[in-house]
Amino acid sequence: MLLIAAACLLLREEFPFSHFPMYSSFGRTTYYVYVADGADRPLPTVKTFGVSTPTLKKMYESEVRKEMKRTAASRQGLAIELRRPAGQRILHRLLNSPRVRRSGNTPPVGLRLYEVRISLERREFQKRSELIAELL
Amino acid sequence: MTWGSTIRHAGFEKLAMRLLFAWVVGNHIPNVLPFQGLPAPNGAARFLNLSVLLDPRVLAGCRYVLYAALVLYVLRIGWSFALPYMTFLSIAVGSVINSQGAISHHLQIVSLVLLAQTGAHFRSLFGRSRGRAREEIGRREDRLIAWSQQAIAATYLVSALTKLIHTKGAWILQSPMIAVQIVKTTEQSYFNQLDPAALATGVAMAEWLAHHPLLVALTLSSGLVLELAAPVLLLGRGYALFYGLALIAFHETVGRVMRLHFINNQYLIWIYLVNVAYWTSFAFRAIRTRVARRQAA
Repeated sequence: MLLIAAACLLLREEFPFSHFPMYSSFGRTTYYVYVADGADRPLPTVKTFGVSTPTLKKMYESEVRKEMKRTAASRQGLAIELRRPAGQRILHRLLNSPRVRRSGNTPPVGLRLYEVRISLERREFQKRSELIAELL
Repeated sequence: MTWGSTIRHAGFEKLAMRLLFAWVVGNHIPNVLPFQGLPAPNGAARFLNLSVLLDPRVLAGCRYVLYAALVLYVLRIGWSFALPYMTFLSIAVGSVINSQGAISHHLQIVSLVLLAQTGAHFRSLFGRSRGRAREEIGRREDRLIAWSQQAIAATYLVSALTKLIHTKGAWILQSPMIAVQIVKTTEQSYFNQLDPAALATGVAMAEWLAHHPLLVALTLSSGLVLELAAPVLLLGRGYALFYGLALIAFHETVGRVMRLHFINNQYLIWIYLVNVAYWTSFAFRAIRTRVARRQAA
């Protein structure tokens, strides 16, 4: 048991080892992303792209980290212009996802990636939505 | 029962465990891996070219060999082939799924239990045998079960330690902020299918939690203590049963509130901790003994 536990804590995220970081810390703010079409109508991510919204957020987060590394910017300092390339790459991947290609349907016209920030201030939830990237 | 000793399991328990675990292993490998490549290699994908598994014909072939390995596993023959193969395929497929730029955590526990079983098998194979061959085979399988329980305990212990490490011990103080996460998971769930059904209940629950931070901290601290106490399940059958049932209740609560369903965890808990086959037999024996005593009196 100790051997597996030590390997999980040391290797962190190398399958099959994991340090299981889900909800290992809670901040006052969090965010998620969703996709809309060119007319700003939200798209069901599982049905349209075969990707769940939590997975979409993880993919986006991974791309944002790459941008942070590339630009040496902190998360707070990562302006929307710097997050845009990460969002563009995600939209391209969604548009080329096997679900969209296999379905034989015309892909949605225009894709928009929105980031929704949620915070808890004085026991009230605040929400702010930002358009991160767009494919016409 | 003390630390380090291995529980002896009856033949019917072992058969039930092998059958059920084979079913879990067979089900946790998907029919297709709907990806175009491995944009962010993780785990075994860092060392091996696992993109071959993206070819549906290759994956189908691997699945046929898996079925053969599962049959051998259940029949308790050819484990030196069956267990390493099952483990390798589980790790390979899990690595491919986690190489898409997003790490998910629903497959690790199955691969870790398989890894533990393979380790236990070869440890027994190359260790000194004691007693007759039949007893030795039974003892080897007892070790396999014990190491599986240890792998399960390790995952929960690690999860608790990570919470304490990430928050420098202040996880319980931060825990009322889970209300923000519930709003997030509720809305994420909505955008999966654009199904508004769950929106209202999720947000109402989050608002209630935001107004009762002390109660939330108390409830979540019990979950943390439960995870930290994971080694207790190794103390014996009774401990494993009660700990297993507590974990099932924990997962059911997390599933309802956070919409996070760790179904493979729950399957393995039922198989290796709750062990329904043993406790059903135990209950029957107890009833039979009581009836016999009454009749004798």
